[in-house]
Amino acid sequence: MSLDAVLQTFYIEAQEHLESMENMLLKMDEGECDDEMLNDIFRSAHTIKGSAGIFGLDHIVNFTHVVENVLDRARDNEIDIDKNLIDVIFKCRDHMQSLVAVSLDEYNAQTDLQKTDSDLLAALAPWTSTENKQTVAQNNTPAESQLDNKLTNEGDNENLWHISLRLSTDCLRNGMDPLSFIKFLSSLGEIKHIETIIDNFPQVDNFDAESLYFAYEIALQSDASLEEIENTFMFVQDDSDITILPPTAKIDDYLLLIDKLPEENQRLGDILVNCGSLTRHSLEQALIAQSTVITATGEQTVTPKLGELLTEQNKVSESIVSAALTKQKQNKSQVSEGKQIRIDSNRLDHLINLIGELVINQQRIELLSKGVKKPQLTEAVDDFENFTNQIRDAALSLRMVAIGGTFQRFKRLVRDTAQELGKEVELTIDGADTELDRLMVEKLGDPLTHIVRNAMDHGLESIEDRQAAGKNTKGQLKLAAYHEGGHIVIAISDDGNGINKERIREKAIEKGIINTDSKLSDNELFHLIFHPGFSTAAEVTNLSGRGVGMDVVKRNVEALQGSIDISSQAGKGSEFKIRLPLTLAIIDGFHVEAKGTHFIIPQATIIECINLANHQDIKGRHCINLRGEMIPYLNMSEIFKLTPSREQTLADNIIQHSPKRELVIVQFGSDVAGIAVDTLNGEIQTVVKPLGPIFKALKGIGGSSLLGNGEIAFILDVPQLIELAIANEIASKVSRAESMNGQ
Amino acid sequence: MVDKSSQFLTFTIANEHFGMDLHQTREIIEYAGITQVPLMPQFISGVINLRGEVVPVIDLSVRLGRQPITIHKRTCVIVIELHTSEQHCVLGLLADAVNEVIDISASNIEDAPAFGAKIRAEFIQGIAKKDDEFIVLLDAEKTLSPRELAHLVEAELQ
Repeated sequence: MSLDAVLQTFYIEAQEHLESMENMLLKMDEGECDDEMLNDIFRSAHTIKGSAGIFGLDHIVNFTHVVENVLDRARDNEIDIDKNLIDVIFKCRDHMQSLVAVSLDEYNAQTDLQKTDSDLLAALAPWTSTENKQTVAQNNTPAESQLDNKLTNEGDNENLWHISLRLSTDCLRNGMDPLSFIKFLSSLGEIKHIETIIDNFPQVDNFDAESLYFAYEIALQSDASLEEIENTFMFVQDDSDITILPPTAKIDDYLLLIDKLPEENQRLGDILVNCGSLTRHSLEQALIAQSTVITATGEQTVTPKLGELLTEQNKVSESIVSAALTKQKQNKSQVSEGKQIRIDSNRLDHLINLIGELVINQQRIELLSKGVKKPQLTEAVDDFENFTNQIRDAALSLRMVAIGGTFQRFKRLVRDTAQELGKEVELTIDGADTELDRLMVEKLGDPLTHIVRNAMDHGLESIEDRQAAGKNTKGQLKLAAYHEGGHIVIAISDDGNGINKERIREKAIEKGIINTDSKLSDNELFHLIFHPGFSTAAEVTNLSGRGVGMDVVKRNVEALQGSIDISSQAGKGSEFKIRLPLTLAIIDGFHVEAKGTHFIIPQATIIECINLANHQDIKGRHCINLRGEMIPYLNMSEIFKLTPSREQTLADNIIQHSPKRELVIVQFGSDVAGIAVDTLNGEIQTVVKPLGPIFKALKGIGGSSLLGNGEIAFILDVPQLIELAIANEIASKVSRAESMNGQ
Repeated sequence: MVDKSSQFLTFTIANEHFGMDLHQTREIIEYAGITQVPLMPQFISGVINLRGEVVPVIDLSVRLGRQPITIHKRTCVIVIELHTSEQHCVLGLLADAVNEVIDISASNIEDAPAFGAKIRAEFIQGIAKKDDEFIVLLDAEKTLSPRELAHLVEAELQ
């Protein structure tokens, strides 16, 4: 692990701590406030400060230190927590985020950052202590700070030995009393501190009165020699784990000890202190020495060169950093080690690609095995299919992340936006654990932001208006995520005024988007807001109203193969539903053929398949009556102007002679339509292969895929296909009308 | 212009000889059918499955303003790899026959004639002469620029 990588860990962790701070602050802002939350915030700030100190990022340390002090005072009930304080802490948190993002040099170069720094410190002044708390550089827990003070007061760490005592469980049985060792030690010098570690203490049921469960960390001030101290433990040293660190011990030895200690969840700070004052003292010194190296080279940013340089120059310090950070990570938010690992997303993508190939290969083998009529082979191939599917699902689940993290970020956005707009808004979140493809989660942030802002700006009314309408003054905004028929739906709803259809209509006419006599359904009307350049806000606000947002929203969602539905009721509110596919890499599809060309229709869109021969077209139109419902359908070979290829002509003749035509009924959003094809070949799992930039303009086809026999099939993009059919129909009507006029 | 000797892969389409910088070519495969892509302009013959990769195949003949290539037993696909500033792109080209790899020194390459070649001048890197035959050296990046091909597809679809 190079220093560079450790620094990277610091950035990631700092980010996580800042996020958790934000979440806690939001909760406090909502009026929930308990000691645990304050502790959490304090811990986050403290950890950031501590880690930043390790890297010599003084700008973070100095600022965070003051914040931490205020938090500490709040924790000790010395100051009251009110809205003002929360506001300032919010700002401080944001500033810490900016500080973490820059290096010390960049910070020194950016006067605005320094200004914010001093502004915020001034804002914090009412809450900062009048006592000189600055001397306690790293006060962690009250106990710790006491100890800290004690040590500083004594100011003399000479001849301080550190003894780590892990006596054997059988110690008592062998007639040894640990107390006698400690008593004897006190005859050699003065015992400064004893920390008893009781982590090994068992459940009452398993408790054996003759076993020893205690371990000790002892700081001993003594002029005795190593030999004398060692002799104390002469009778137990064979089956016990005893480490004696002399006053001259190197940092490495302490690091070894930290690593060796079995107490995994022990807070790093505690360990440092409990290990004896020496460790803290020396560790700090070592850290100072190290940061001097860093500052001397003048760049403590994430440059790989520096990392390597330091690794060569200063191996010791690097190991300190690693050990310290590792321990810190272990005690972070009680997530025990081994439950979570971080992986480079590229590696994950590579694995998923490979598994995609595996799926194709498996299908090929299945196809080949059908020709060989051997029961054992068929069985083996079936098993193979079963396992391939499991591997595929497991691999895909690696890419899935819960949407909750994204939703969580909106709490802050909503809070700030509400303040800016002078509205009262309550955000509720539902289905935070719904999982989505990581890629999608990344790309959803922007569209969601736009919709949420729009809902708050245009949807929710001002406090007075809400009162007048007899509503709760607090506007309700809801973010929800759930599964629906092979899709994931993300719904953003508000209980505001609803979308004003008339306003949209007027505006669209004014902007020349529709004609004065256009007849539009509600849905079509609502979708006009996604038209580029459309904005109904009478005045352009800071948040929305520039008309650049919503068309971007639509484009982003479509890029994810999703769609947006809008529903709205005047006076009651509106709902935006973003419908997304489960994953982008592999889809379950239905394999069909038209004029010898292979197509795959995403399974999630299919309702049923029927035989077209059994249904009559309604009055020559491309519509059938399906159980009393009129379903329009499109002809695959017409819409794609398919002509049988040379090889296919012969086979195709046969198909043309047979009147058997199949109709696949698909649904997308609220639209239901049929797709007429020649043959149905059944369900297939397929890996999506993008068609490449050249085919970007091709509508109705979302990608390609390889079939088991190596042939290429095109994956249909159903909504685009329906759009294409509508566009074609309009075009043909226009041309027909023109030709009739011509006559 | 090339200032020293470079290697070119030469191939024939409808009795005309063409050359392409060897560095841009990846492999030559036998023509074994092609999957047509719906609604595509004529210069896109379709796509092929190249060991699990879906690769578009261009009818160079159409792209250069000539008749579509006639598929026969010896038709082959030259797979080329373009590294443009935006992305790298793999394309197949249909050719009647692939001839040889030859060294052509810079001095043997002449500028494209301003007219008369019946090919857009910017597509031509130069003209080389070998055994009384002219070889049109194509500038693959210009002739097969993915961006321009995408524009042509878009125009065709509208």
